Amino acid sequence: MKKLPEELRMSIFLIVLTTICTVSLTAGNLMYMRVLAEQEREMRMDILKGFGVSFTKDTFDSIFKEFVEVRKESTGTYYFYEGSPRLVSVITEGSGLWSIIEIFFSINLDTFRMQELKVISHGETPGLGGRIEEPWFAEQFEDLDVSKGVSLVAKTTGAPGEVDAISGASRTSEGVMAIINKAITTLQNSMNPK
Amino acid sequence: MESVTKSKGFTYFIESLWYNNATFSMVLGICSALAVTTNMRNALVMGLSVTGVLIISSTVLSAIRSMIPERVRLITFMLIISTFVIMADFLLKVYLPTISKALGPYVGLIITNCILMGRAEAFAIKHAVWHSLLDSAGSGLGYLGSIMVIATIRELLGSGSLFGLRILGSWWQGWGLLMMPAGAFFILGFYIMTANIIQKRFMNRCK
Repeated sequence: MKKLPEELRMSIFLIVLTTICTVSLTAGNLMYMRVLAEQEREMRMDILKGFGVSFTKDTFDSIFKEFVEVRKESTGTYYFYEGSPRLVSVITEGSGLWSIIEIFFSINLDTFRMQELKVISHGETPGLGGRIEEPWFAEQFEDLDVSKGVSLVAKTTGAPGEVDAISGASRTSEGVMAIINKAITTLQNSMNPK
Repeated sequence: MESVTKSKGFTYFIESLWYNNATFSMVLGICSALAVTTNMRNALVMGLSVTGVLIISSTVLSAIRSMIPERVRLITFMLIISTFVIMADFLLKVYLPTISKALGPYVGLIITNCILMGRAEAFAIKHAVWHSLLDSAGSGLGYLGSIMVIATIRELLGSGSLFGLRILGSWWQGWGLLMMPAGAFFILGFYIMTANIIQKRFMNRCK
């Protein structure tokens, strides 16, 4: 058999190789998207559980559709629960010192007090800013009056919305404060349209 | 046993694991070695990802080495390595979503890790599949071992814990500097120094 010219051999080799790589990556991506959708569903289940609604795996989709309104805003995703009390859960993110911090919190819309807060993920300095993931930090937000936003301060004076910042991590504390306040402002604007 | 230790494959393995260790002999892959070593859990996952991708891509490249046209070999390396890296990224996102988020962009950046391209160009393209596999396993485990040592020191002294479990008592305040990138440089420097002293002084080359 006559040997193919080098250019042709190179082109064929690269076309075949690229096709194989692309096809396998597309297949991988399809499987990944399916898992991602499943993870999203599990997260919604957790949110519904947090609202105190009972459901089974089969009834979940209809119950979620009936009670929860999902709104995507620039600051994050808002899950409104029209029950009593009226609640909203927010998943929002923004930048800390080094990394993107992802925060979940829920607010009672009747009293405008925070119910709970969770730092979902972050990449802040362990031992310093990384302490935002410790339970004591999140617990400070429970039943906190957030009608005027939150402020992370070095020494609490008793004013509404004040919590202890993390000493030695002022930039991370400022980041967390900005992320929460932005999300709350967007929430207030969407509830009282001008 | 003697025949094993004298076999060529074993020599390649030890060479790339110890004498040509990616971190302290060749000083490759340093960016990720500094970035992911703030705690042991991240370092372990990162090290295993690099090792896995390295072994698979070296083996595949070695298996198809006679087909690769010389002039496009670097593109070939990149295509194959990046395919496996993206696969590894998918796997981490699916099975270890929190660690994947903590590692941030560094898993995707394995593509640019010099160890992978280095082993492909310097070894896999010229050697048999079995030898490439052993060589890449040695390199990968060498990298894993190095970042685990650095991560152990940084996590223990920086936050008083190992694998997220508190080891030192509450009297240990946490040496914040070691958690910063600057601290990583200090530890890396001492690690390279110590490893080279051990390598040069106490070990005879087995060649």
